[in-house]
Amino acid sequence: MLELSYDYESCVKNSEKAAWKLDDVMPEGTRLDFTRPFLPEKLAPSAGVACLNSQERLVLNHITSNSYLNLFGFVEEYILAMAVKHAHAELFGDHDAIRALARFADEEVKHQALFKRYRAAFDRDFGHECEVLDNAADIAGVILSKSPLAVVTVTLHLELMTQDHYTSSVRDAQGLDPFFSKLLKHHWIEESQHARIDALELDKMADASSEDVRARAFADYLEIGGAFDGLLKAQAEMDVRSLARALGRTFNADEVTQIAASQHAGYRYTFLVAGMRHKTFVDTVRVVFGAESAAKIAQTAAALS
Amino acid sequence: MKAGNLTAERAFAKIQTVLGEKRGSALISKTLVTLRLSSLDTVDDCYRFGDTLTRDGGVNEAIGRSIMVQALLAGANANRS
Repeated sequence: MLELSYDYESCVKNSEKAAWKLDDVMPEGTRLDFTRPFLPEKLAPSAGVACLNSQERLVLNHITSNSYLNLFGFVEEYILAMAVKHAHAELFGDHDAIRALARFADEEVKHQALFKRYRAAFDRDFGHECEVLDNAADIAGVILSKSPLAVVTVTLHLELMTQDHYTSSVRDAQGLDPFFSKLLKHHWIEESQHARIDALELDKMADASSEDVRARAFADYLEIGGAFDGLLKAQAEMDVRSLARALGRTFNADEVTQIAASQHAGYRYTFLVAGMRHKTFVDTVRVVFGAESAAKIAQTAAALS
Repeated sequence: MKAGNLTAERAFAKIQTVLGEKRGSALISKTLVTLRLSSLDTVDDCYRFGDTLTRDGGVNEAIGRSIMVQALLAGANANRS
């Protein structure tokens, strides 16, 4: 169904070429430098928050960046389970597919280890407690209970969105912390192969599925997006409390609402809208689920913006 | 021995890859007889086919489990099967 210019074998070759070691990207004991922003304004917007001065916005940027990586660690929990399951399905079948999926799984575990190491460094060096969502296994369970075709669709969304974050907002940005940019670059390098594997899996599954299965999967995709939006809202509210603690400042109700709304809008763009508007994702949805579904995604993205 | 759908074709191909055409065909026929089916027409049939293979133990069990996962990914419902 999908016209793809790559196969599992080429994904394995590219993965071997791009592979990196955790200790090369973030050696044990790496200290974080909080003098510069970690994420660009597009992914961590705060310019519209009138109640914060520039130094306070920088602190909010660091809090957002910590939450951002934690959210990736969150979704990688279920992506790992998905990759292992798909590799199992290929046993005694396509060995190139097994290799590609096994590398995919290995790289996801490595990313989780990288983010865990980063978060430990953040907790040590930031100096204030930052609240982050901590029920990754529960969320993984909810996502994996949905239609497998929906799970791969959500994963493709997330992988393409990750690429977009780096290529559109981080790679050419000026003034960002170089270590954090390097970390995102290495994440992006491997995620770009994962997006290709997702597309290959999606194509294979869509080919073997009925129209009913595809319709249910698309409904599940939207449902997962809605549930994820609830998590983003919860993280936004946690960020406000973390910021108050870090600044030693008490925000009034209007300020809390203003900061939380800005954080939630930022996360919505970063994790939902950026994926829903990615050209490759929209084209894939159009082929697999139909033009009406692609239009529905455009409407959903507009409603979230 | 008719596959019936793409998931079934993939399931049969796994068996013949591991056991060879002759032994593979015999195992497929035997398992279809156990299920009282002449072909695997739905993904739920494929899931049941895999489940039946797992009862043999050994390599058949491993193939069966892989077929069950493949069927689930294609939309089979374990409760319905």
